[in-house]
Parts: sequence; C-alpha cells; structure tokens
Amino acid sequence: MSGKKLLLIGAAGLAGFAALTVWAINTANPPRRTTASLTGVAQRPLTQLATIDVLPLNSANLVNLALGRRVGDTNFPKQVLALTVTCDLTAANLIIFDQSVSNTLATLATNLSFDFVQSPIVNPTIAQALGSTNQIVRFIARLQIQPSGSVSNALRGGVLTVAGRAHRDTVTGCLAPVPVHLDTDLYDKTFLLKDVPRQKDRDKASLIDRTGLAQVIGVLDVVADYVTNTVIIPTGNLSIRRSAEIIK
Amino acid sequence: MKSTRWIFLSLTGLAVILTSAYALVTTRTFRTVAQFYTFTQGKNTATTLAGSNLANLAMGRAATSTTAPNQVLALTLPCDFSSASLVVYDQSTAHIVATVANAGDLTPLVQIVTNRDNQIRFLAQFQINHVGTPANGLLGGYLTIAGRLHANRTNGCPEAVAIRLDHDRHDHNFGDQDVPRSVDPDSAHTNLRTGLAHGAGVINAVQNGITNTILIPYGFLSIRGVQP
Repeated sequence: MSGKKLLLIGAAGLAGFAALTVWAINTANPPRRTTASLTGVAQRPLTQLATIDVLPLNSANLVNLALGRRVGDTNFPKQVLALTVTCDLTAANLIIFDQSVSNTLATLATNLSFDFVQSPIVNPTIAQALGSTNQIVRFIARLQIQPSGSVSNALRGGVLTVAGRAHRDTVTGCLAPVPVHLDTDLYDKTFLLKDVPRQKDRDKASLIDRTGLAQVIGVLDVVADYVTNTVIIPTGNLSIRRSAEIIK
Repeated sequence: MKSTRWIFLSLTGLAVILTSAYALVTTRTFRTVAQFYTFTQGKNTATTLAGSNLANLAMGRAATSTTAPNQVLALTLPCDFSSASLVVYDQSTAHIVATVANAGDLTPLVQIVTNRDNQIRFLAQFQINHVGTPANGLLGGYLTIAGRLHANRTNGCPEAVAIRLDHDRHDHNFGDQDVPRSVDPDSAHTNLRTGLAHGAGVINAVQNGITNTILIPYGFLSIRGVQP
C-alpha cells in the first residue's frame, strides 16, 4: 500500500472518529419534554399569621414565573419545560423550550452535580421492542435555579434535588424514550415515582413514549404578583417524556 | 414602690432575658433513626443503609458492626433552626463523638397553631463530612432532607411530643414515615418523637478499603427524643 493511500485512510479514519465523537456529544441531547407536579409549602405572605400553605405547582407554573408571567398564565402553551442530559451523563439542565420555533428560550436550572449508576442488565423486553439494547440508569441531579423573570413574577433562586430513573440507549449513550407501557420499575412505588396526571400538568401530546420518572425535593425563591416568598418543595414528580421538539 | 417589689420585677426580667438567651444559643440533640435505600454501580437491586450503618462508617468501623451500640445517629438543631447537623452521639458519655454532615443553610417555615406546639417545615442541604478511617469512612456527598418538626410555643426550641400526637395529614403524600425497628433499632423504648423527614442524595464512602459512590434515591428519618 502506498504512503499516500495509508495517509488517506488514516485521515479518513481520524475524521470519522472525530465526527462520531462530536456526534455522540452533540446528539446529546434532544431536550425531553418534562411535566411536573410539585407540592410546595410556603409561609402565608400577606398576613401576619404564621401559617404554612400548601401550594401545587406544575411545569407550566415554573415556566411562567421564569419568563416573568403570572403563575397561572395560559397564553403560551408551546413554551414548555424540558430536561436535557448530556449523553456522557455528566450534567443535566432544566430548560424552557419553545415548541413553536423549536428553540431553547431560557435555562431554568443548571447542573450542580449529576451522579448515576447503571444496571448491567439489559431489559430484554425493551430491547426487543426497540430493536436495540437498553439500560436502566438511576440518577441524582442537583440543579441550581437561575434567577429569571420580571419584577412582578420571577424565580430568584433555589435548589432542586432530582432523583430518578431513565432508559439509556447503549449505542449512543443518550437517554432514550421507550413505549410507556414498558417504562415500569420494581421500585417506582417505594421511591414515590409516578407519572404526572394530565389534569395536574397538561401536555399537548399524547403520552406514548417516556424516558423515565423522577422525584424532586428542594426550595424555590419565588416572586409572584410582586410578593417574594420561599417555597419548600418536600415532594414532587417529574415525568420525562419524548423529545420536546416532536408533538405527535 | 417597695424594694421587695423592685427585686421581684428585676428577677422576673432577668429570668425572661436568661430564657431568651438560652433559647437563642441552645442547640439540642435528638436521637434519630434512619432508613435509606441505596444503589451502587453495576447493581439494579436496592439495599438499605440504616442510621447505625452511617454512624459506624463515621466512626471508622465496618458499616454493620455491632460493637458500639451506644454510639448512635442523632440530629442537632439550634432553637432558631438556622442550621442542623447529623452527628454520632455517644449515649454512654453523653457527648457528640463525630459529625456526619452539616447543613448551614436550613430553610425553616413556622406555623403557629393555637393551643398546640408550633409546627416547623424545613429543608436542609447536608454536606457529608470526611470522617472515619482509610478502611471505613465517609468521604463526602450530600443529603437533601425535607421534613417537619414540633417546636415549643414559648421558647421556640424543637421538642418531642408523644408519638400519638405526632402526625400530619401530609405525611403519606410527602413520603414521611417512621423507621421500622427491624431496620434501625433504637435501644430506648421511647414514646416521644420530634418529627419526621425524608430525603435523597449521594454518599461517597469507603467500606473495607473499597471506595464507592452510593446513590440514595429515597430515605426517611424519624427524629425522636432529646438526648441529655
């Protein structure tokens, strides 16, 4: 084999490897549409009474506050919450994704830490359904709420600890959705993992595929109608679904 | 005004000041039992880490050691709820012998209930300390813990109440539950409890010389009576 030919093959191989690597890193991550049902507790702000109120919050409420709108605003149904996780499982972010233009509008919470363990057992049922291998990843992410919004309605800060499980495509390394009837786990009930009912957080698309489920504990610093308050989230559920870019 | 009356008023004032100062500076230690579900790399089966296992690791012993039953997990809280620590408390000497984790930024919410104790809801972000020995110990990590506590109506300090009175309508939904005796035994047959809590986190630990990252997707704590 001539030197030129070897050089060409080497260069092509290198380029291919680099391209694959870049692809693996960048494919990272179609953002996954994520619905939420959080239960907040907060001190009642407008009276002198020391009373703790229980406040339900969903992903639409969080998106509204982060974009400076009133918590119950319904004018922008295509601006939705989504979760991104890098394919090497080093970081997760909660973002606001605009489905009308297929673009990320803002980052609601950024990664502080991401830890995971993965099962060596390939789920044969899911592998058969997908035509590929598939693994369960259990993860715990700590996310820092980013200050965003307006003077009247905003998220000022806070931290969320998100503990959950998700399916991972062993070829790309990325988290991947599976048909929802296959997305079950022995420990879901024990760990309080459950889907978010439609009446608690509306998702325009039908629930056909799901990437995983997670539980949330944390605290949010919130401004709602000019009133600042600290909201403890003792519990909350996240349903991590399909790619946020697709509406079936 | 007679001098005896002045003396009485002065003494009353002094008592109020001393009580307030006591409430401000006093930190109380509560026996705490815990059950954490854990996962480690390469396994898809959850195992249980009890409060006693954490105390053992913090003291440099094997997690399942039973040689020091008097060294138990406890939670310390100041009366202003500004911080919290998970500690190993030696019941035989009535001293804290190790600090498992500190939370310097406790978020407390207070609800005053007429004719009852104050109710506290809190969120604590504990940083696990580097404690133990090279063979068995805790190397770091964090626990995010949310829960509820009782506090004295007069001085604001956390305090235990009879277990039959310690219930909350949100316990089930929030994942707060007591810890079974079979998981984390408590030698004291107490009928007192200060509150319940639950949480999630990550612990880096070394056990029998092997370092591991332990994921805790869910766990719960029962905060019981005050320690002497």
